[in-house]
Amino acid sequence: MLKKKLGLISLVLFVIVFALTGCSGGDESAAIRVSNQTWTEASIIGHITEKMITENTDYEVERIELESTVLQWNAINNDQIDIWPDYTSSLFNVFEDDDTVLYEPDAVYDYVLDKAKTDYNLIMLERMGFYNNYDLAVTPEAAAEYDLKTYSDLAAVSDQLAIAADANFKDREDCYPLLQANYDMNFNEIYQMSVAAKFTAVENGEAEVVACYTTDAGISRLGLVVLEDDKHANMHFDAVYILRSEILEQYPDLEELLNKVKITNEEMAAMNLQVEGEKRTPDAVAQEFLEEKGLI
Amino acid sequence: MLAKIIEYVFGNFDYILELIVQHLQVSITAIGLAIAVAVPLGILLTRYKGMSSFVMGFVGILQTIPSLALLAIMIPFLGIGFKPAVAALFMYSLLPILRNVYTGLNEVTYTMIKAARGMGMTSSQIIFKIQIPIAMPIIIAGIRTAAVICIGTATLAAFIGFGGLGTLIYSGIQQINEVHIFTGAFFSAVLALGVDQLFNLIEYVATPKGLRINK
Repeated sequence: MLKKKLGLISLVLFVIVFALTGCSGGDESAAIRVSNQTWTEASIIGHITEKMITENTDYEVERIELESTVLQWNAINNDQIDIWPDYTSSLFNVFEDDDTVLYEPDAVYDYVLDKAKTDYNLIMLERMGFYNNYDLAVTPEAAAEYDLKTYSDLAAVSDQLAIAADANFKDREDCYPLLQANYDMNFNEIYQMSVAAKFTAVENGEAEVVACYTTDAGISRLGLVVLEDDKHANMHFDAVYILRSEILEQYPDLEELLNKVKITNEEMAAMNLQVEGEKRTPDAVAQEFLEEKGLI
Repeated sequence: MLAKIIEYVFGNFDYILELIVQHLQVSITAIGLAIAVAVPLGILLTRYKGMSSFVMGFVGILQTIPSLALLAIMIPFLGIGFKPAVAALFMYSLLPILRNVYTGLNEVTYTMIKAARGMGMTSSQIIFKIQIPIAMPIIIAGIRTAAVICIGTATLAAFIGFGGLGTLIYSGIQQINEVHIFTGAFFSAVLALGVDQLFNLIEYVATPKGLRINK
């Protein structure tokens, strides 16, 4: 009886050890590791990056999906990923814990570029062209009913409205606290959820306002009215590539190659709509974009 | 909707199969590790009862750490992919097993142990020949709970770049693609039910004949 059990336990241990060692062997591959999150835009950019490299060079690429900025930031600093497409002010927020804000787009870019290089040995490439700021959009019905054009208009009636926002909207310094400080907004109800679910909430009539990004597909899909940030309180999020400097030393041509990726706001919004509206895969949309641009 | 799901499943069968295999790989490894740690630990705790509330408390705390925070903390030590996913699931599986082993062994009535001692059995004989066989249904029930939790939470492997069925669920949520969400959720539910039934069987086989309730 005892022997039988010991046999069973050693079998289990054997399986575990086998599984663990079998997997760590995979880490040795020399592929360039590109990381993206899985929300629509991030996923498309991830595929664009992968295709740019695999179609134009003979390097191997491994695309790794990580579900949050914190995971990606920790991963790139621990040599787990090599290329990370993100946004200037997202990095700014990682660097600055307190509630400092920088509004001027070039100033943010220069600051982040310098800080990433000197403190973390990370290289930031040229801006891709599109930006993804936090915007506030309202349903056309609400816009007409309350005559909403600017953030100030919205603030005046915010206590009667519900807003659908990102999961970290209330906590992020550059989201709700910033709006409260500058505009004295106090929404009746704040629903925090995933990026895409916000628009479903608005579509279902559960919220009149949505805290969205500039290039979100939902804006055009639902015909929402984007309000003007009349006191210029929002930060600026330019899309950029962040690379481990070691990967650039190893593959210097990546810099020129990835700097060729230029996307306008309109193009990005159209691609997002292709995925969320037409239900095409991010892979196919990325392929089509690169072919049209003659980049692959 | 259903037609679209069926079309998607048949059109992408290889991909879904790969996700299922990843899902099982990460859950089985985690549950195996949890059994290997929690069963001996539970037996030890019946010997050193003073430690039990401390250890149980600690394992209980592990259970409450939010998964995303846990995964972020582990990157410097375990990197991304398979290992941190297993580590997180392992931590979440410990408590149900440990608690059931400990409770199961303690539930064996004192008169039985006394009788065994009277027959001249040593302490380890009492544990392995009396307490464990009698507690077996409860121990297996703990492992069963842990396994089902494990299959369910294994979707978090998608957060950390390992894949599994969570990939379909989360990317579906993020890209408003109901077909992906339902496909991922359906297969992970099927896996959970399958594992549950498997342990039902194991529970029956592992229970000493004399203790079986006739089926």
